[in-house]
Amino acid sequence: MGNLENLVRATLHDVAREARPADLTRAAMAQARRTARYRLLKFIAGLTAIVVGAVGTVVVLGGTADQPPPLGVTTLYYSDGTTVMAELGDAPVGLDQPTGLVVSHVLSELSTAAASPWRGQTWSQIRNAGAKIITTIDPRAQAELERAVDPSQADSPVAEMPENLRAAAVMVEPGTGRVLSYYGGSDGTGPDLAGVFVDENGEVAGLGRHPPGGSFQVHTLAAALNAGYSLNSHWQWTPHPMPGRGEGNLINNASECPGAGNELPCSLLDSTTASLNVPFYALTVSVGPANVLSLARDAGVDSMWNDSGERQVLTGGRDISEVVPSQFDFILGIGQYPITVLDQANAMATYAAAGVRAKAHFVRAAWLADEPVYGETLPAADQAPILSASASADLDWALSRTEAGRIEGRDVATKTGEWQYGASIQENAHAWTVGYTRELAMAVWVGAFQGGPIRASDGSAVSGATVPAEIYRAAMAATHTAMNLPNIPFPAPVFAGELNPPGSVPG
Amino acid sequence: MDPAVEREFTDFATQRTHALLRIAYTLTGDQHAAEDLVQIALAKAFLRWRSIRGEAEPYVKRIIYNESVSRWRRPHRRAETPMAAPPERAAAADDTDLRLAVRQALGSLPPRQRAVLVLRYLEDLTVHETAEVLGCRPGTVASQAARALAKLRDAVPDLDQTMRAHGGRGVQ
Repeated sequence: MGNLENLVRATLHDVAREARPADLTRAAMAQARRTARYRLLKFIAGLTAIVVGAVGTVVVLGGTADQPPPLGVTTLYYSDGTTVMAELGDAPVGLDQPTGLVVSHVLSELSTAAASPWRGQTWSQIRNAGAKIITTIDPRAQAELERAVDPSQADSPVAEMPENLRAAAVMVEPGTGRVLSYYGGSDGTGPDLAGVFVDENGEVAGLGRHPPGGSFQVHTLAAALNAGYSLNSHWQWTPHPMPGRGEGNLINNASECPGAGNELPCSLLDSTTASLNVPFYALTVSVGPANVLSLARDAGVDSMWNDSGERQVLTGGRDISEVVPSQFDFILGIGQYPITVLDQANAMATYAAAGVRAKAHFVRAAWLADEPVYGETLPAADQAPILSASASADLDWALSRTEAGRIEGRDVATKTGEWQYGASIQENAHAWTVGYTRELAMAVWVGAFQGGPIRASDGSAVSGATVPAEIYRAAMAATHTAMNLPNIPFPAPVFAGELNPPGSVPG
Repeated sequence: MDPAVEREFTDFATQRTHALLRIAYTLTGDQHAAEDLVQIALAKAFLRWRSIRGEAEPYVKRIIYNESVSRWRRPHRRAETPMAAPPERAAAADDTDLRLAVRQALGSLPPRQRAVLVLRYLEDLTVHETAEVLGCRPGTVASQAARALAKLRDAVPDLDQTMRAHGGRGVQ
């Protein structure tokens, strides 16, 4: 047994050495500050200050000296303007619901948006502003999303799942960017697994970034179609040396090209349906990783995390060549680098709107004393799409072949994806389903609470096409019905573009 | 919060985060999960700093181990196809294959057994110290460790073979 113990010791040290350094100090403090316990401690400290102050000088009632007295409790409403989502103030109500996470996004938006009257103010000031805030969250969409994704709901596909499994999902309205429903966890005071936001200390908070795997191939495909690559171009799909990946380090597939033997190349269309890594890596090399990432950014991927876990903001006029290839390599095209569920949903909404990007947002309007003081910004009627009409039509058609996303009576474009568990090559750590109809876009992620392989209760490994797709189909179908959304058919495919683009196998 | 608390906490976190990340990474096998785990533990420590100062490291470690154990269920074993190529490996040592096999097997252990192994063989704690961190009886630690090692031995049948080849017992 001594030899085995030594081997275990050596192996554990091997593994430990792979941990990369990270600075978590400020993030930990920021996380602590968002808890009820911190607010209680601060409240007690404030009381003590008042009592101490009262001994010699004036007592400021209703607040500590550095804070103006509250104007009233700010109330958040669903998009119908009548259903209350949360009451803020110093003793908030409604934060322990899934929609409690929406509150953080709302406060973040209102303290930073250019047109907001609370720009630059503290969250506490907004909580106590006595404002009426109408969010973008639709009560019907939110109810259906929670029914599908929240394990405490009896008829959810995740109701019987192992308790370490976590799901996060977001729906965005194409054309407007309104976040119609949001689920990053069952308790809004806990971590946000669907997105990140800038908290009141200017820190990025939230844990909603995960490697997108094959769900990122939507952007890779869209970039290729937009660059004039045909769905009927053919690609070597079996593992082979490619730039950055030589022998011994080859990109592998998790499935096979339907109908093609090992000797035959695979069409871009079939490569998409079968979610093949090899052709999509080659496609990224050919189209250029910076072009793929630029298109993803234009669609809605605002930030991406590098291998050191550092967030790289892609928007705000940032030159993509600053981050490609220094931060993100070819493998971005098959989804190695984490992005948020919210950004994926936003990007799907852009593709649903035939390439018209509307920035995802949580606030429709804010009112103070019956006066409107803030309104959402929607795209102008003549805003240019990020995709050509033919690329958009071909993208819709290619993604509508995904079996896992089929909903009867609806045209649905869907892509699934997974990312492997740690160093294991046998387990998935992240599974996604993303997609859209003309009326509704959605992204679903399933992972484990603290990492680890994801498995269903029967022990089977979770992939994009299993649990995430069940959540997706259930929530999409029910929400279309609940919101009376019509089926708007996708246009016919064009099969535009070059049949023999660089890197493909000439036909 | 008291600025002194923030200062002390920042000093502690700055110095100890990497050591904690190594443990969390060994428990989870995933960088993001490890960071999340350490961040959660540090946040809890920050909230209770006044009562744990001086004892912060054992407190944080207890949270890391117990969270990693309590949030998990006993995993089931089933092979699944990978989605991406395996990551780059470190340069080969003599027993590289064995270590890779052990590593693969470690990933399939239930979280409690994995935690026991990390405490015993990465942190080199005694059975009693391990029991204290996990809040269980020493007998439980011993039985979990034995069970874990037995599973690893099953998973690495080459072990005896290789050791014989290297001149261990069993060589004529």
